[in-house]
Amino acid sequence: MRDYEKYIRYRTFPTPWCPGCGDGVILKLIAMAFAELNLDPDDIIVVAGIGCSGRMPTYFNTNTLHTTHGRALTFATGIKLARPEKLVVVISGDGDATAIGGNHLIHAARRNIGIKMILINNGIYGMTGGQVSPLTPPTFFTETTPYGNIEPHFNVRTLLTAAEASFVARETVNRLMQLKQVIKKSFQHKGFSVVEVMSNCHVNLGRRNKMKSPLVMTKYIRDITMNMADFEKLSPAEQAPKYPLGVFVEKTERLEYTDLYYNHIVPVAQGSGARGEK
Amino acid sequence: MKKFEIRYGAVGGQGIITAGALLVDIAVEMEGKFASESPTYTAAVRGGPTKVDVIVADERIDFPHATAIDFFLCTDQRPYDIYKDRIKDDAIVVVDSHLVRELGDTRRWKVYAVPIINETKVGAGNVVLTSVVSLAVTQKLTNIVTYEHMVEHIKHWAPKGAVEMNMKAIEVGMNLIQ
Amino acid sequence: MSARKVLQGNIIIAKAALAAGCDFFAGYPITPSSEIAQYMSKEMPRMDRTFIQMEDEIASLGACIGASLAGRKTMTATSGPGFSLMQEHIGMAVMAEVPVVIVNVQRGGPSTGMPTKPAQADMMQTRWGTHGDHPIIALYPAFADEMFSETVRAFNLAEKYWNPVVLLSDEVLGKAHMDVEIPDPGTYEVYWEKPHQVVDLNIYDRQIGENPPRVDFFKGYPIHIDGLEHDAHGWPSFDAKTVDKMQRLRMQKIYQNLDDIIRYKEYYLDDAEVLVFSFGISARSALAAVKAAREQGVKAGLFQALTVWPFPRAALQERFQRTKKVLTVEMNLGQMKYEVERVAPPGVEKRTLLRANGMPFSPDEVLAAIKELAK
Repeated sequence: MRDYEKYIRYRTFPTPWCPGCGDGVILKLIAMAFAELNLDPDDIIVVAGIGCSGRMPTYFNTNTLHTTHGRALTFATGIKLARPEKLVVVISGDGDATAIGGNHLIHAARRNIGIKMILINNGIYGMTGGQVSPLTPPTFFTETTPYGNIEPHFNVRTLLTAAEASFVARETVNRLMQLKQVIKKSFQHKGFSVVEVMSNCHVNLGRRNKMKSPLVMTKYIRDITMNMADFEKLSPAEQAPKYPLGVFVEKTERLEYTDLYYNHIVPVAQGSGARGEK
Repeated sequence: MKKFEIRYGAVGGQGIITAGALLVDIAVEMEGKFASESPTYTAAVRGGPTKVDVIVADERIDFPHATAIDFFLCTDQRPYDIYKDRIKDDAIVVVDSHLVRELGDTRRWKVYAVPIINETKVGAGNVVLTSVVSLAVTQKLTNIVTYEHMVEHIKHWAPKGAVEMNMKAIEVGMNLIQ
Repeated sequence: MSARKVLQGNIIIAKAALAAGCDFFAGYPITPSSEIAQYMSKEMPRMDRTFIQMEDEIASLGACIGASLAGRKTMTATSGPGFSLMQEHIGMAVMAEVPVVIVNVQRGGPSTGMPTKPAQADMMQTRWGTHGDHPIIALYPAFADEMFSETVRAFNLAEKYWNPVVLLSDEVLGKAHMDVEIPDPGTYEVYWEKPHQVVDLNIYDRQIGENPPRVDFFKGYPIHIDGLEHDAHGWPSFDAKTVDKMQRLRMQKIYQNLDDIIRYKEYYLDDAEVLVFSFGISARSALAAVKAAREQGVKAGLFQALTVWPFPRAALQERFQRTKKVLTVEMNLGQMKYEVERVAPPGVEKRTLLRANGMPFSPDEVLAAIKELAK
């Protein structure tokens, strides 16, 4: 058995994912990151919401919680506050994290609570059959944009940077080693972290946009992404359709929320008494 | 006394919720009575018509709102107009003589029209003490708690440095009613 | 000096929750419940317990469920609109069998309605608010001492039956300051089953009638908890036979323990000719009215439900053996009256006193209705 396999719950296989889906790759890379950090499976909890990504926790041989649509971060907030010493990982899709769960996302970032979020961006609602999401690129065809998408998409990088997230990164399912390293790095970060992973849904997004094989779709992802250094050399017009990759924000000076609560608020409350008490 | 019902009417910010709270604290914690205080309020803490019903009794209080009022103190016309229902015959009614001008038919009641707000400002030095002045007026007219318990409780309750001000407010309240 | 003190109803609930061992509170401000969160924010860090104000009510209950699964005793408090938002996660807590206490200080609705006025119009939302077939426990105290004891009991029942428990209150009870004697620790039961050391994934493996054990994360063996229908391992399963068993397990853990769950109070019922059925603030008006009726020679009595869900069916049925007139008093336009009607046998005369205008019934209004029915 290879190192990472003890973090995989093989008895729950097979997965519900389509052949060629990036989710399986991400599952393995997360398990490899656990292995490289040599974590006890019982010291980890993986939480997810609803969607293709939501099914991922079932396959980790760690503590796992499959919650409601968009709300994984809220459950994870309770768990992290109850057991700050545990590694709390949230797996989310683009619809889950930025539409129905958008409010929870920006507030987790604002609080800087030590939850590690892996945001799998395949630009579509896959499990419900291919509807437009807040990360679907403009003009794309989906089941609910049959004449083309007229809405601009959120940019997870700038959205979370504006929300004061202390760790923001983006990688793709094409760059396996870089992705694993970034995931591992985010697990070692103290505050809230988001790793956006550009992934392929050739079945529900690709098929309707002339990219129906995984190869064509991952090639498309390769073409629209580039290292941050290269991205910065582009004009704003050239930048618009491109997605830079790398770690964009890594702030270590900001205190983590549970650390602030237990090491600042609790002593203040116990020492001098809260304001207004006679 | 089996049950004694008090209603304070005011506009939000005049201190009646505090007056009611002080009264039930004294009645329960110092005199071993049963008591409740139920506020009726609006979203605006300041300025909206407000009432507080205080019930003091010898046994557990079933319904916490006033249904047959023995004592009504009101410091503004609007709450006076809205909340002067359910006042018993022979009840004591105290109104601010500057701020409640239209009393209507008061033949059934014993009415005291006194300048509560003005005397609080002038005599006690700060309008926030209306709560304690109102409490003292209540004590003097009803004897629902003893004067000694009221003074002792206010001394304990007032923030350090404000005890003297509050004692002055009690005096203002006691002197308002002759 | 008396041992009794004056406390606001909301604060009695907060104190009782802490006395019951509540060590995690997540909430969102809403009138008329906010004092509960405010009190918790001040007291919990002093006790090395955890308070957080979340971004909305959905998040508040989500955080509570997460913390509960990580070993905490959790509570949230809200009112009508917030309670509506929580329904999604009440279902999650039922499905995953997670103990959590949800306080709903009822106010006038629907929608924003009347935030500063009382109502008892969430009775059916409490029972059926979340989607899907599900069991729920709901308690509704009326007097100050009950607000303490029923809050403690809400935690006990949540822990014992691995189910969310709704603690109902209303604007009058929440905002009123009342005299209350807070009982000393040790004089009331606090149920707390230490989480089991987990040895395998079979966390839901039990027979119908068996109470669930408390299973938490981080107990030695990584487990899976799911909002999807699941098998004994907690893994997603849509197998008809498995689903049928799980549905019945969740129902039966509540419905086979009604003796433990159902509490009510009876006043002057032994020789009553008119039974008044009520709860919460309306029961207090009703009790004053029943006493006044007795003084006037009318034989009335009060059945005050403390457990409103499951409905105290058997106890009420028993009373209808003798008493043939019933008056249901509630601050809505007719919710629990249907439960009373389902229980009352033919031949029992059924009347109601209903209102949803933000004004609690005064005792004389209830008295008039009693006298009318007694004629």
